[in-house]
Amino acid sequence: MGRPGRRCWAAAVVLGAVVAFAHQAAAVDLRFQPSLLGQVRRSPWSAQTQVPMELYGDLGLSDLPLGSTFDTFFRLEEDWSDLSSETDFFTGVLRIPKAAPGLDLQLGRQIVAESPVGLWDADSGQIRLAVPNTPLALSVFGGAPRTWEPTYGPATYSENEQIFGGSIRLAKFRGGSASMGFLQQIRAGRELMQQVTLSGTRSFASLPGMPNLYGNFAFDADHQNVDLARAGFQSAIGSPRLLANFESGYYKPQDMGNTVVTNLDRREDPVFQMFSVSDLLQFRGGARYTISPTVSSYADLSYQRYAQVRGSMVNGYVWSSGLLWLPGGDGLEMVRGEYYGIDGIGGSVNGGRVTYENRVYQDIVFRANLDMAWYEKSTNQDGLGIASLIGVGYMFLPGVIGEVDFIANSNQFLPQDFRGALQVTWVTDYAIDRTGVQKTATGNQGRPWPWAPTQFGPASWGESPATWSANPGMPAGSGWATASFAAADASRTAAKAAAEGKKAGATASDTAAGAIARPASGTEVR
Amino acid sequence: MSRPLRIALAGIVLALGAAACRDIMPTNSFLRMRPQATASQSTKDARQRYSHAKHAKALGDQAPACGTCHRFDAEIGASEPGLAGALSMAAQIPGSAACHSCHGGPVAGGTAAAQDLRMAAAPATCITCHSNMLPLLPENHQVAWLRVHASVASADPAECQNCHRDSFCVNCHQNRDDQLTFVHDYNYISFHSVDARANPIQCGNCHREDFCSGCHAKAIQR
Repeated sequence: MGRPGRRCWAAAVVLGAVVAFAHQAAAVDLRFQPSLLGQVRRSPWSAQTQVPMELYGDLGLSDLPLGSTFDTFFRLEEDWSDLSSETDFFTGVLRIPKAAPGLDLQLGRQIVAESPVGLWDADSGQIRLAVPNTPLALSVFGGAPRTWEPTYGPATYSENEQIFGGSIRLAKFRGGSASMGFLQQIRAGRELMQQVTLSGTRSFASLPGMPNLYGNFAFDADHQNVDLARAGFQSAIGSPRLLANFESGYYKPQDMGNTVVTNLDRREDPVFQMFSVSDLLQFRGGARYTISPTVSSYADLSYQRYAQVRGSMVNGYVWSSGLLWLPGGDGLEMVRGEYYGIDGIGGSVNGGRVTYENRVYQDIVFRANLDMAWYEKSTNQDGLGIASLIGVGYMFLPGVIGEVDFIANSNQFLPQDFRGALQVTWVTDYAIDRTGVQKTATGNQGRPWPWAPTQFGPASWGESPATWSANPGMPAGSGWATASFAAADASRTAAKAAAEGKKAGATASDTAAGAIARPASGTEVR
Repeated sequence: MSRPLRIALAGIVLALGAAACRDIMPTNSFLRMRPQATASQSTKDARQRYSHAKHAKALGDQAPACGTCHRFDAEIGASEPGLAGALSMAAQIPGSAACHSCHGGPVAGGTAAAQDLRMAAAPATCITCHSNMLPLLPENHQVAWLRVHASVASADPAECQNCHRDSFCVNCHQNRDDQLTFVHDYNYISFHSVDARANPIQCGNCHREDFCSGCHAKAIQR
């Protein structure tokens, strides 16, 4: 079956599943967020014009029987001037979180992230079993990793890979857990590593600064080698406006230092092992300070030390610092200015970028980006690299945004690189049941740049000063049910006392479940 | 001044112009993501997804009364239908605490009775009800969360799935968007070799060695 045929077949399966489940479940939630991206540009390698078109997006189903979800993500690419350049990828995973009490099943092409040293998109299955009323949970996974990255050339190492492993969650805290696991990776029929892993994280919401600690450890039993050790913490320090993060790490993907692994299929981390023949030490720190409710500043620095060749240690520094301004405090408008730099054996870079994004106005999206960097390489090359974008979008139908972008760049390979681009994004959400199809949500968010709060947290948001609570979604002591819980607790205590005193009249109906029907005042509800 | 630089500067001027129009143009009614009461904004989403029919079916044997969730201690005269209507739409909505008494895991410091009241069968994931997740950021999603999330995710991936679907991870980890450059801007090609040697541990997070050799092999061939 050809590629178009497979796509049609996959679409038919999805639609069939929707119809089938919609007849069984009360209402199935269907989420669909496709984006059509197009660009006209000149190839950096030739004078040829390229016209890549991409269909990005995801299609998801939820509220299926047993709490199941079906989640997909796809990128279908076609270059209309060069039909041999396709780099499609797609994932799709069925998750049944309540296949049986405590049993969570996942099957399909999905993210496997149970190793502290790697993450895969793999054709795999995952089984999680949580032991009721205990923190214990057992997880088993296995599958074949997949890669869809455009390589612009023949693959140089095998994609014949398999991973197998499992983990046991030993403890679970509020805002954290600790687990140990095992991971085996095989490439081209040969064992690459056998790791014993230990991972943990914990938040201390009741302590000043709400610190969060985390750590990972991985020992390669096959090579008798510590692959990874990492520990870090983040916390507000002194003032809730000042947030800091420190981390130190040790990385040694293989037992190196004596020999260079020349066979790519035998390298655990081929890119790292291309630059280093040794272990790597890393220290990293960062801080965020909220200057005002709508202005935040930040700074990050990382230091790396490793041997590029045997006996020759080199250092590397990467840093950035900037300001984030959210005019109006509603997050619909973002201005970000940043200075960044790199210094190492390969040379140095000093650059700055300004990003602006506006979603304030009805039906209109506007964004602009300018990034300029001066570089001096150890190869005696230097110059100014420029990247810029101006985009204007309009919502011409509910949930459908069309955007036109103009991209102008200048770099080492193309001194004048101009590109025209378009984006059409449709964001929609439907509830499907026996009575029909109902639209449940629309939006005009389009395709946002990395949204500010994902990097800066809620400290930068809102018109009021930053405050901290153990659970921002559920402020402590709020809500009438808090009092109901107290009433239920009192009722339970009374019942226990009654039972212990063997008093007459202590009946089974005087339970906590009965007590919640009473409002906070304690009067009976009619 | 080079032409790309002039165009880029023109973009900044346009951006400043757009910012200045905030007071005279109609504002966005679809995306009010961050009003003052952030929790209520997310609760509003959840409220719209609530189904009495679903809950009546799931709680059938326990036969919950209206007063299990709603409070009716406000007295409204029959002559005030407007007030009754307003209260039924607002004041009688039970709020998030009533929902979380069944949906959600154990709460630190919660009373024994409160823990007993939780129902093991009730879905505990945030996305069961909430579609706007922004106000529900956990306390550890701070500072350098993008950098440290891998460590936390590997400790307990199931915890991530309480709020995030698989496509949320894939959207960044496999993103090769030609327009909106999520990680590297288009000038990065000029100095990526400097970055790779300063911090070689990070390239492999997203790229395989093939990605390097594909271009470098072509350069050698030329």
